[in-house]
Amino acid sequence: MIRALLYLRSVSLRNRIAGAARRLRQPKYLASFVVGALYCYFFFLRRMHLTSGGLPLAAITPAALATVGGALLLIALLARTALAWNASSAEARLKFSDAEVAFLFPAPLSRRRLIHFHLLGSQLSILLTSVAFTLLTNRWSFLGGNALTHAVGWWIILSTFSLFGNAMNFVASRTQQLFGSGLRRRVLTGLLVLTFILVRALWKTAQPPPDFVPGDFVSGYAGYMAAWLQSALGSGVLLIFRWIVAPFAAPTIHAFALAVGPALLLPAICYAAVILLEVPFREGSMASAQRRAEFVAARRTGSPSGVRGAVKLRARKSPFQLRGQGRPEMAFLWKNLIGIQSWFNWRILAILLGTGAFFILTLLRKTHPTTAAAYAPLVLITAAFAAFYVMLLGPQLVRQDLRSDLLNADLLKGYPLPGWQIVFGQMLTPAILLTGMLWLLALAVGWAAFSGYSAAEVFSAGTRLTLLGCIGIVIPPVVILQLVVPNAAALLFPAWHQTTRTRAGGVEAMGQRLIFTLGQFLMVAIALLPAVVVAALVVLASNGWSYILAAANSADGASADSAHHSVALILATICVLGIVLGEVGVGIWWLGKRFERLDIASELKP
Amino acid sequence: MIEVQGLTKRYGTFTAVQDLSFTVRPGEVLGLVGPNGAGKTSTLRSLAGIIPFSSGSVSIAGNDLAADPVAAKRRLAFFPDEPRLFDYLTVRQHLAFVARIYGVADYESRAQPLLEELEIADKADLLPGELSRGMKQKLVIACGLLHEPSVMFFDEPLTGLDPLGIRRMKDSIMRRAQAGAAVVLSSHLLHLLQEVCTHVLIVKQGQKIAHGTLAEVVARYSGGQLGVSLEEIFLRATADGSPVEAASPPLISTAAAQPQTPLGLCPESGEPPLPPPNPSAESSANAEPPLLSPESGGDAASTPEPPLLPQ
Repeated sequence: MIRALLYLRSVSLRNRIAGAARRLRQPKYLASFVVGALYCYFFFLRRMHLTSGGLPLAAITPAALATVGGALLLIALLARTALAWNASSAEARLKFSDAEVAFLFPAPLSRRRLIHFHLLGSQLSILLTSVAFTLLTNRWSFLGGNALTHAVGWWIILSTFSLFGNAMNFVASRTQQLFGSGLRRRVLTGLLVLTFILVRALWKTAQPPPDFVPGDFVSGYAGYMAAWLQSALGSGVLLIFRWIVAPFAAPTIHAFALAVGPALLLPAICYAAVILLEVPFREGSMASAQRRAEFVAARRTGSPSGVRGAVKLRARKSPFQLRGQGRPEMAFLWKNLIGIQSWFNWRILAILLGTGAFFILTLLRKTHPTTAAAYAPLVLITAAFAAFYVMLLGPQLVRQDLRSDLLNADLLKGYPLPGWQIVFGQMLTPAILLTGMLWLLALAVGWAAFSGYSAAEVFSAGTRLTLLGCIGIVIPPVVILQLVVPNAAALLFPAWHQTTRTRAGGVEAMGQRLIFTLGQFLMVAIALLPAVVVAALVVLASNGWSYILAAANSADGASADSAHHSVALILATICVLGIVLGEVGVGIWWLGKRFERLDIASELKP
Repeated sequence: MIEVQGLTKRYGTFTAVQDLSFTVRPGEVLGLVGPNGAGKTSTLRSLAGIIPFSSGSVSIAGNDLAADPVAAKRRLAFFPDEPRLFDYLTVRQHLAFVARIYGVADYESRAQPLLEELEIADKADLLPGELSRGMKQKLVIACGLLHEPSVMFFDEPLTGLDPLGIRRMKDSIMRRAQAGAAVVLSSHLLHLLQEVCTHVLIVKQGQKIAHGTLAEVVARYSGGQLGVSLEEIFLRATADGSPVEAASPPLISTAAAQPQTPLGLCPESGEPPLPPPNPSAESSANAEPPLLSPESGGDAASTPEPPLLPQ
């Protein structure tokens, strides 16, 4: 049995490596592999032997780490429990591939053997994931222990999570068999009540966080969190979860050896439950394998249902009424706004943002009863970071444009529209989404700028208002400029682009994504450079002019200064708009020409 | 009307379509046939403006496809063999989207009869993922017909349809041709061509093998035999060593000007029979069969019609 499994896994792995090696004969895959390998080396492997590598941060205490880690594990296991009990039919299932179902289920194998086949198979994945996580966490200088303790620690945590999921699935199924679905609802209600009790306990014991200390903030905040959790939940609630995290948190081999025994208690109980509970799992496993096979097939064809995960598409309402006549670009906006509704909903986003903001602000008020200006630096820094990531990653993540319709290129090319109109129409939806996000962040900055924060008041209110207005005006064309780059990449290298959409794994796939992300960053930086230089020159020239005017007319200097700043900003914005809009126009026109010449069928030939 | 002159499509060094010339007038249905890999789909995709052709010229309803593709595409509809649809738009939303693209102001009054004609009116709020292949094909056809094109290209239009659907589709194509549309139809279903097409164009390895009314093509390859099926004609025409039709005047140049029956006969004049080129396709390898041209037409009154269908 074990031999058969090992044979299956080793042959599959060998064939997969051979296939990947064959792909490396193509220069683009080889280049991606080199980039991916260099990234892995510099980001993970090079730091393996650097004991004090990474940021110079103070070490976190093992007890604090175990408590915080245990709390996170508790949350994960609660979510896993809710998932198991919330399944519409709590049907027991184990993860088998379509081929494994076809070969193993009719074979003369006992139930226990099938379960062991599954558990051993999942152990191989868990081992690989443990190694990957170890490479990541070994870079963190604030952790104790070494690579071995981290690897085994991760293995215990991941195995516990996996076995707990199986056990909970079997328990839910068995309970439904015995007591019907009424109990399922009661368990879910109980979970909700439990979550409410935990949140309430945390709320009541909330204390002001420690002051920010550079070099000590990780251990400082971990200690603060651990103390908060201990006071809210007591030491008993988290005990078993702390045991599971303890080997990972162990600072020495001796502490690690002592921690391993208790850590294996929960996984052992889960294993016993899976083996001993007489629950039929074949039907559920077969249905699950079929769904996975359909998902993989959809992913290979680039279908949205495959790319976004096993989300069942359902009909969505039109965002607005589309009349038969008018600008055809609006048809693409309308279409793609319907398309994004399967993963994006304005109302849900607004509710989540509103609820999150309410809780954070209330908590901050409770722990930091002070003025709004005190939060301004935090808001400014958060908004700046968020804006940077939206600018950097947004165009790669929000791709409901030509990239998502690349396989429908023949259909689009049949339409009586010039290429640029199709390209521009397709870009409108991601442009609106990203612009909306950036405008929200600009609003947050605006709030901080007028909150009484002293650093912001260096500029007059008029200048601040003008600056915000200028930023708001410049955002949409810059966003479209950013979208031109990934769309150009998709049209220039359709096969390559399609590979990154449909193939998840491999060093070369990672390299491809890196090349796309960094390439986009570089291209946008180059495209924005002329606009930035011209804007800077305009501001400098205008400032020089304002000094001359101020010298000539020294009366009412402050208001004149403010007006000149505003005029300079407006002039600079006009220049930036002109340059960026020109680049966007040329880019979209060129993309349209490229789209008109595209033959997707021959481009995607292997 | 479709006018094609010297159409050539190359993929790198491979020539998929070579120097193809033909004309399809309003009311005509041209059957495009050939073995797998003959270049039929490349021809249709080039004619529909989906892929740029390498050389030659294509005119769609008087609009040069290369010079003014937007005007040309406004007059045509292309129906691919594999229905391509947007996963997240319902049937009704597909029609609304296509209507805006083509600027069909009164699309709602046109859409409902179309959906009913194609028997998908009750599926209007379903997504493509919830439709069978045949239903998807019908939706593609509804989208293509919404703007009432005067030129239509069908690539294997009956794939996935049930027998009733096939019957209705054939009727629909013929009705639209009778209303003045020029239709090109690619299919391996030769009985479909016999029932629907007025003309046939046989291609092989990207080159024209034969072109004319069904009667002309049958006459050319039947070798004087009676009751030769179109399938047999097709096999003879595309057999190894069969002659490729040189760049010659289109066979339909005169015949097509007259009203045609679906079987390609000119009811008033009948078609002049072609002398049997050779007893068999194999022996015709080195002999150029006589082509029908205005000058080469025989005496219609004194010659019997060649058999077109299996007796």
